[in-house]
Amino acid sequence: MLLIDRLKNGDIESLGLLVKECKAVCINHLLKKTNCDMDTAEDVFTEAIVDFGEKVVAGTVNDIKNLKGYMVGTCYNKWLSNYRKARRISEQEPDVERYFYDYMEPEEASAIEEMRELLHEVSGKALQMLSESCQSVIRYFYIEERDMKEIASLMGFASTEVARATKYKCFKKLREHVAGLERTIY
Amino acid sequence: MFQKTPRTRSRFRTNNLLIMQLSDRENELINKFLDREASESDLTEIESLKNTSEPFRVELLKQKAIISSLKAREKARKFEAVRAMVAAHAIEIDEDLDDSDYVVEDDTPIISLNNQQDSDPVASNAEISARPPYLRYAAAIAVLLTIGFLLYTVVGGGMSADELYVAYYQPLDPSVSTRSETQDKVENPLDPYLAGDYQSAITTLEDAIADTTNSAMLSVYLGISLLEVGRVEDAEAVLSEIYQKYANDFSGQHAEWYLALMALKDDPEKARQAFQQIVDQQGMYEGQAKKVLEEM
Repeated sequence: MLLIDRLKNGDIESLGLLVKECKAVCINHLLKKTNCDMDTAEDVFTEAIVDFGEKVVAGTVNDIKNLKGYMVGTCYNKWLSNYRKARRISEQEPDVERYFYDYMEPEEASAIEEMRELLHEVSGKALQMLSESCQSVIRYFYIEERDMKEIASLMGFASTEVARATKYKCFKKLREHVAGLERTIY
Repeated sequence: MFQKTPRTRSRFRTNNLLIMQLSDRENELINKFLDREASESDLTEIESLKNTSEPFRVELLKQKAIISSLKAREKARKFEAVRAMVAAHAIEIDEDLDDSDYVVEDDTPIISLNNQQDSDPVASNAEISARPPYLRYAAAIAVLLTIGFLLYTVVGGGMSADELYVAYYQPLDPSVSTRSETQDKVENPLDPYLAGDYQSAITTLEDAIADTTNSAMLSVYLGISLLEVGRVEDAEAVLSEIYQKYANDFSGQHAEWYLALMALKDDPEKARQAFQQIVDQQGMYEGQAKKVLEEM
């Protein structure tokens, strides 16, 4: 089976091939060029591999002629992006604080954050409460961002309209399960 | 800093119990919004409801948070699985690493994503020419690390349009923008953009653009955010408008650069013309455009 097909089937293990192929050159490049430690380099490389797999599934990357060069470049960009983000966050804390004060009541900002944490906690459990087919539809549409045509084909639905209606019903059920779990916690 | 109060928590709890009381139209609007299928008139209605209906606003927020959580969980699961593979695969530290370790040579194994069985990952490299060491160029491009890196990966030659796009595309960093409304007046709307939350950035930037008369740079960030979430046609429309209006300003040059990168995906010849035009204009992206053209 093609690597791209294995990835599209959710076979994460197939990324092991890329790890084997590219780890040495990517890690050594990061260590040498950024002076980061081994843990950071491995984290960055892991992120790059995961992103690569997602891009392949989404069809935004194909026809890679120089895989090692591509992965070295991706790793370096990712390290740079993480570095800039960390620097920005540390520099902009006062602005973030001001943002909350300017746009909403402090207690509301806090409550929204609390709500997000709670939803993060319960959404995985709620997904598990759905039927397997519903879980697949939700995963395909919201997590893997596949289009309805592909979902209809994967799930054996008669049309994209059936896929769309099923997705709607499944997400509604998910929302109800989340609400139920929220109530048990509140 | 922020005090958690029972009053606010109870308000969210109340709203949670009210979710089933949203009208069919309100539910339809939320569904369309989350599925990125809302029309202009839908979006106007959504904005209005966000300001007038607390249950609608909270429900929209919650459903967005659920989807974000599912994505974050999946990402974390993949990360853990791949991280274990990375940790398990031992490598030797090579302090003498040079470009030959990752510049393609004739016998370098290649994994072809569409045409190659992974049981036989070594493909013929007849189409790939040997490349000169990039290090000879590195000294000349050490001024900016990012630009340096782009040259570093591209100088070898023979990159596909996708590889060129990936090598050169990255969201515009507001910290390197010119002083304008982005720093003086509307810094806050850029927070989601800075945090990489491009879906939220679209909303905050659209709001900010509606509130200011000098919104060219904000529109550039909006175009990039649209691109990041996959709304390519919308991104093209926004960036094209900015380019047409402000071709000689910084915002117009940014827009022109991103439009050229976008063209790489669909129409390499159109992209080539766009990059050539950037070179001819001798603007801020002249150097990068030259390098892309050399590689095409």
